[in-house]
Amino acid sequence: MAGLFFEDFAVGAVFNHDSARSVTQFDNTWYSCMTLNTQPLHINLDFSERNGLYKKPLFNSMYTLSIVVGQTSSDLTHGTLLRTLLLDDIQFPRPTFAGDTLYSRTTVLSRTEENERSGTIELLHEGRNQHGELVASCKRTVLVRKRPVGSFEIQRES
Amino acid sequence: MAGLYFEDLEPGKKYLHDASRTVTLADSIQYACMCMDTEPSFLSEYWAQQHAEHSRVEIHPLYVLSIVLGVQVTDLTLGTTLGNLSMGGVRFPNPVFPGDTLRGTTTIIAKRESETKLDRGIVDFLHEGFNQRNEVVVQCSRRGMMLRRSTTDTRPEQHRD
Repeated sequence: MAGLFFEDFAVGAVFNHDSARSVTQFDNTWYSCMTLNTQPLHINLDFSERNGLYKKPLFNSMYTLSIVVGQTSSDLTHGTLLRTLLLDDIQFPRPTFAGDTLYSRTTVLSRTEENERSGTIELLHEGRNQHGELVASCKRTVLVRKRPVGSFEIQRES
Repeated sequence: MAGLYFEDLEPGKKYLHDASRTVTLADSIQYACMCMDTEPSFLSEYWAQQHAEHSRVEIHPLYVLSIVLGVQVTDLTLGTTLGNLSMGGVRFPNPVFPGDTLRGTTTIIAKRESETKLDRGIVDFLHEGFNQRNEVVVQCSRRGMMLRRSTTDTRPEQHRD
């Protein structure tokens, strides 16, 4: 199924996304290496056991945020996203560790008409672990397509 | 070399990070798959040619941000941070495409000692990412928790100064 067009985003609507995944230390190390992130708290178990606040590696918070945002795309903006305009109020109330499972939820905060073919949507993304604890949240403003008049071509394609 | 401690970070100072990298179509697709992001504008050349704003696959903005936050670690926070507290004001003034080369700068904005924990302080950073034409591709304000040199040295003994 395709994502939502501008007209389909109802302010106040809440989406509990079905996409969820467990994260592993392999993920943590791989993501950190992909982004040139040499932080031993992510990639060095020996260092983390000796010096980390939690005596184990912290999951890369950028990867936590990326998963929480990524898990929303199938339901929300698949094929309708034009641009990411702003990420704001990004918080990590609790750490994520290898073995945790991440679930995402989105609330539609506002929407603004831009022009004939697009509009701006403000979303609140929240990521929770298997205990229901909030581990990441952010406000994300995106420019999305309006529904093409008389055509559902874009919606049908993937 | 390790990162900098709370005491070493001077508000107003700007760092140009040496680590930089070219991003590819493979990076973009791998990133999106790793994050369960099904957005075709990051995954499908075929789709992008027909429908994307720039008619080509774009590198995921969150991957761009992750790289710019990644390259500062070696210079600033390697072994001297306790974690990320918050980020905000993240903007993407120019899109990034496969083949672009990214590098980053960091400006120290402000810092204050923790009121309750003697071993740490709070530091505000401004991170900016640029492509090979020096166009800004991402800006991000970040608040991090940094260790103080005076009370602790977290590096293995053989690596201490």
